[in-house]
Amino acid sequence: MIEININLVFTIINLIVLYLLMKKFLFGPILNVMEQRKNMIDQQFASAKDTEEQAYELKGKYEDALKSAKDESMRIVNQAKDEAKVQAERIVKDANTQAGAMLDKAKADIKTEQENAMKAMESRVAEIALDAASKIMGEKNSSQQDLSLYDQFIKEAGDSNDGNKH
Amino acid sequence: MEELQCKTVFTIPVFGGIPVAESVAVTWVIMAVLLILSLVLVRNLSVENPGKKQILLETGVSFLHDFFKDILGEEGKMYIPYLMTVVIYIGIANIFGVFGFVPPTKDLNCTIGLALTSIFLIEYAGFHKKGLKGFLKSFAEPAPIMLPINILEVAIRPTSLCMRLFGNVLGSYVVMKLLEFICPAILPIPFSLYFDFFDGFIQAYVFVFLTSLFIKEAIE
Repeated sequence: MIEININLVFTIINLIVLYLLMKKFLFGPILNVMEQRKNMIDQQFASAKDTEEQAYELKGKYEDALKSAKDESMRIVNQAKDEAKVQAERIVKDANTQAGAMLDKAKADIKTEQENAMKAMESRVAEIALDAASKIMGEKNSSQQDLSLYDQFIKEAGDSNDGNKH
Repeated sequence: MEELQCKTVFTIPVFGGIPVAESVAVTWVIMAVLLILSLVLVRNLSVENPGKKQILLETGVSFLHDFFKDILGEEGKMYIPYLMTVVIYIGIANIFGVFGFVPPTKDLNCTIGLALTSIFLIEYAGFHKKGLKGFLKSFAEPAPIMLPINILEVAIRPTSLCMRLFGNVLGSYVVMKLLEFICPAILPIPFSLYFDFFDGFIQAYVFVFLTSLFIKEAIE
């Protein structure tokens, strides 16, 4: 029952052979597959994390871009407003100056015209007065008399006219 | 009484005849079964979508792997496949009596062989980790006075391992044979469940558990 013999050696050989067989055909492949799966999962996790980070980065970039675009548009609108204001002020000022100039010119024109009309009127009044005088004096007035009369009249009429303009 | 003898199945007719015991022959059968099973089960392994069979297989293997990994740590990783092989072998050997074979672990030669490989592995692990000097030094630890006890341990550890396994299996074998002699029907079933399955697996567990603990101690 209890005897130690050559079968001890056989058992050890059997064990070693079994170990090698199991390692080659059972544990090796299975552990390999599990290792591969673990690696794959790790890789997928890593890539998912990478993708997430990239997405966040892009999101930040887009938000920045959006914000800067908003700022830019605001700036452009403000600038345009300012420019428009300046231009409008300038136009109004120009118009005012122009209008003032025109008004002045018109005033001056009117004044000139008035003076011209006055002068014409003066000569006309002199003629009329001359006519009236000659009609009154009849035929006997010589040209000498005419002239003296005329001057006298002018003087009188001018004096009265100077006191009461137009 | 003749049931307790380890029968010689056949004799190799060289060197005046080498007897091959039943335990060795049954071990061959176990090896063949394990080889065929692993060849069949390991076919078509898939990394991405494992089938039911593969999940079951992976669960079992990773259960054993994690069990030894917890004890041995990262440093003793290289010893795990051997320990897994031994636990499977002893587990199957202990319940092989159910299938009408004589359990190989009933033969003292078989358990001595297992214990010798275990002690070789334990001492090799210490040697591999610490180098020759450290390995020799470890016999004088924690104090030089422990030297004789440490040396004795090299012999005691495998003896305790092999005798525990041998005694348990032989005892349960004898009890089962007696029960079958008294009442071959029904009665042996609960006893077989206890002696063959429960005790068989417990002994396999204890054997590899102690071996891995000793290895861990050696590589610490």
